[in-house]
This record gives sequence, C-alpha cells and structure tokens, in this order.
Amino acid sequence: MQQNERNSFSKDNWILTKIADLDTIQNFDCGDHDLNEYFQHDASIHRKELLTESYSLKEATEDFPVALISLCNDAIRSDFPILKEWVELHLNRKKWYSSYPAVKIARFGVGIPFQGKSIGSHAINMIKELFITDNRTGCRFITIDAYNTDSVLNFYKKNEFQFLSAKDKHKRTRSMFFDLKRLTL
Amino acid sequence: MALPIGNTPILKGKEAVRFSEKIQKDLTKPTKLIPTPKIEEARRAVKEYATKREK
Repeated sequence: MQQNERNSFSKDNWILTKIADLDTIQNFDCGDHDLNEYFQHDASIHRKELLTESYSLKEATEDFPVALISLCNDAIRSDFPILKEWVELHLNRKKWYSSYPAVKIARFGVGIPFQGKSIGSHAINMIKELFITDNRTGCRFITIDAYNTDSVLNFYKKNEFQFLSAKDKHKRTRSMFFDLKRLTL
Repeated sequence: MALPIGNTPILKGKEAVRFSEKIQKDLTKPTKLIPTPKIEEARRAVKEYATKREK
C-alpha cells in the first residue's frame, strides 16, 4: 500500500519526506565524518543556495530519521562533435540526446543503529519509485558519486547501479548511474 | 565543511558511444525493485531505539 504526495513518498509504513527543519537532524550519526558534517552543517547552506534538498526516511510511527538523503538535479552529458551523426548511422537511432536529465544522490547515510538491515536498499527503492511517479520534470537517470570502497560500490551495484566511466577508477569517488526507464514495478 | 558534491563526468568519444549503446541494449533487460529481506528487522530496531530514547 503506498501513498504519494509532492515531496513525500510512503511505502509499507516507511516515509521518505523532505525535511522541513534541518535543525531536527543535528544528532544524526551514520558513522561517517564527512556525511555527518554534511547533514549537520552543509545541508542547510545548500538549501539556501538552492543546490540540494534533504530528505529523511522514517518509520511511519516514529519521529526520528533512520536515513538521510540529499538530492540535486543532474544530467548525463556526452560531448563529441560528430557523435550525433555516428550514433544515428551506426546504432540506427532516430533520436539522439547529448544530455539526459538525472537526479543525483548528493549524500546518503543510514543511522548507525539501523545499518545492515536492508534500510539502504529500501531507501534507494523508494527514491527510484519517487522519481518515476508524478514527476514535475523529466528524469531518466539516478546518479551517484559513490565512495570508491568495496563496500560502498558493492552496495550500489547490488542496487543495479552501473559505472558511468572507467576514468575515475582510481579516484576517491566513482560516478554511477541507474536507468529509471528499465524499472518495472 | 564536508567535501563538495562531485561533478558527473561529461562522456567523450568511445565512452559516450559505449554509454549510448549500453543504455539502448539494457532496455531489453528490465529491472525490479531490490528485495529487502531484513526490513522488518529494521523496523524492530527502530522500535527498540525509540524505547531507549524515551527512557
């Protein structure tokens, strides 16, 4: 049973909703210094600058977050002058887009007491559903700059994300994407 | 300050072609939502945490 409102999505008594007052998440601890720092300090600055919006995942009967997510608009772009003609010729595609609209998961953390219990995948599932349901604008992909560690990359691979490029293989984060058009509910 | 939000790279040349081919090909392989077998365990952890908070 699910119910959808603008900026809120509920499923199986879990609610993903935009955080009205960012002061209410000051005690959130996911065990990662950078993520904690982001949610406790930077999230409000980013909101004022219209860069990101932060959401919390809560159990329907409780008032504290089990996971926090910050989202921003993004795009997957291709830049190659003759590519359009090449793709139309070789891939037999009538339409070619050099830019696809996307939503980026700018930050995502699960509270320490709730880790290892499918909360992360449940939140990702809800984000996927949120962005194919009653959208204001088109959104083809979910993107993420995932920390380049086995545990983080394996989590996103398990959730059907794929690497966008091989060029960031040795960087601190790796760009990954999920194609919302492939999702069937 | 936390680290800045990373830029999604602009795909060029062969990577752009590979991406275009891949997303086209992958449309023949639909995906479903990922199973979350421990989600009720998570709900119990939430309730336990809420009880501890109240004390």
